[in-house]
Amino acid sequence: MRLVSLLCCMCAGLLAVLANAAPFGTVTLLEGSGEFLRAASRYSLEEGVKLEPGDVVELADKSLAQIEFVNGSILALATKSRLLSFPPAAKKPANEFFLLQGTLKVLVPKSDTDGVRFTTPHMSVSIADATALISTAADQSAVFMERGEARAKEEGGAGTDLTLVKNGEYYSRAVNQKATVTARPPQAFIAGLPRAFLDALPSLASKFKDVDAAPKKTTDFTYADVEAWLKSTPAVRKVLVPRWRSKARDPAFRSALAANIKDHPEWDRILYPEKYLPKPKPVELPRPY
Amino acid sequence: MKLIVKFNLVFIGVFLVGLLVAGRISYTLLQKNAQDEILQNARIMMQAALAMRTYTSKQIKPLLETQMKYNFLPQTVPAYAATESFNDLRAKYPEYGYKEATLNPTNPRDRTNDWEADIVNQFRNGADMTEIIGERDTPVGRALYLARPIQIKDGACLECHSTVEAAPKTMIEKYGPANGFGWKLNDTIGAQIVSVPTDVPLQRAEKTFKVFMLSLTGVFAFIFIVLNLMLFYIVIRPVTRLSHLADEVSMGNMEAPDFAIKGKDEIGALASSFDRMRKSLVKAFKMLEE
Repeated sequence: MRLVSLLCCMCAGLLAVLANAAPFGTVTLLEGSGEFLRAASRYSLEEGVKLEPGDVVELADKSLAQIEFVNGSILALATKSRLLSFPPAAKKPANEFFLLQGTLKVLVPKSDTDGVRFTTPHMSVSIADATALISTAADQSAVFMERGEARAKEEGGAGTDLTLVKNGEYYSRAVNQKATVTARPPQAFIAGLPRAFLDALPSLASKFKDVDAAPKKTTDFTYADVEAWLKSTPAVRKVLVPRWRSKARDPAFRSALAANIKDHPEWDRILYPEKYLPKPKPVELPRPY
Repeated sequence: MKLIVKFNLVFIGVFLVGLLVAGRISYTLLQKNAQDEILQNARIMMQAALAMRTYTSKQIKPLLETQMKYNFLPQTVPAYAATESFNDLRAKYPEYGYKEATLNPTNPRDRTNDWEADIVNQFRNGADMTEIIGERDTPVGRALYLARPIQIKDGACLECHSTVEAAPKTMIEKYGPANGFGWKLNDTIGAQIVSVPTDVPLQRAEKTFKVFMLSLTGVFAFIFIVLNLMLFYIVIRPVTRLSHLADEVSMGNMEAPDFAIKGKDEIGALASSFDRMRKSLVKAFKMLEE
């Protein structure tokens, strides 16, 4: 009976994952190479591939990719960027992302009324009818508003106030520090941007209107490949656990999970389900009269 | 005076007069052409600068608009584009010059110096003036300058030059808030000044004049020699021989050889006539002896 209920839970989780699997965008440009993780598999990133909510996109060194959303927004990822698309609530297209590492440029047109929200380990920023550049590294995240305005918020700290970042302003937050807004971005930030990011993002979607490139599987990912994701914020880990739970059957992956369980405690339930089985009710002995 | 001397005196006189007249006319024409060429070069340079400005503002600037939000790119400024193009040209032709001399420029290299400021002020004081042309001495020689006013006719210029607050932040970052502001619509804020060396075309005109005059003298000398030879062989020598023959016949030497010239020209006709006369004279003497 317990096994049946566990299977039912797993099926429900899988259905929930698949329910929002409609593609949210297409890779319309790829320079260099990249890959994306979908469920427990790894695929090579190709032009024309449709991306789905829950996908994790990772670019290799000296690479650049552009993803165009079904709602008209354009997202460009710079070298070594790692991005997760959060599964959306209801049946809306995915519009929330987690940038674990790297730099992106996003153009959100006025027509995209929902806007796009990006979270990094240090801040989150909501963008509508604007163009922004977001970069994140281990010690700091920043956003520069090339056009329009955005609302930014500190993440992983005490500060929860929304800050309006105006056109041309630069919002940055270093780890464990208060966020700051300056009128201009520092030269180091500009110098670190890919040259293509200094120009307007061109729409290439029309080239891929009738293209649906089948994703090509590559080698399975190891614990080390996704360690940063597994140890990321609770919100990210919550999304990834149901997708990657089958990896717990891989002995190497499992042992690595077990060794680092304190960094991602939600996997404890997957690794040791027996610990979470309902405790048998104590048999009540008839009271002696 | 001998015939050849008379002929040569007349010829040399005509030659000298012709040379003087031709020299005067050609020198004037060549100098005028050189001046026209200098001015034409200046106008072409000015037009090239204007074309570069238009190309920059219409085609380059829109392409770099996004990049301007990150770093100010002077390449989007028409004046910068025109000046840089001519700087490249000056690498090969250093004596040519182009400057968008401005009284209160954003880029300090465009600031007017004394004589340029005078030109700009002439434009500012004379609203109808569209062009000033003059000459001045420069370290590389005398130069003609052609200046046209830079007037703010497009309100878009004021985005960068009205107030510090209205100017792009990236521009302030690059050039600071001190210069290049306070411009107003229809203000004459500077002058485009093209400098073209006059020495080179004028020297070329001088050289052409010398070559022309030497060629003309050469042609005259050739004609002089040919005419003298023709005069000698066709006229003077036969006439001299005929004269000697006539002398001998007149002194009674009826056995003198015949005059050998054959031909149907005037000298040939004269020789035939003389021969007939001599034969008649011989017959007459024979009749007298009989």
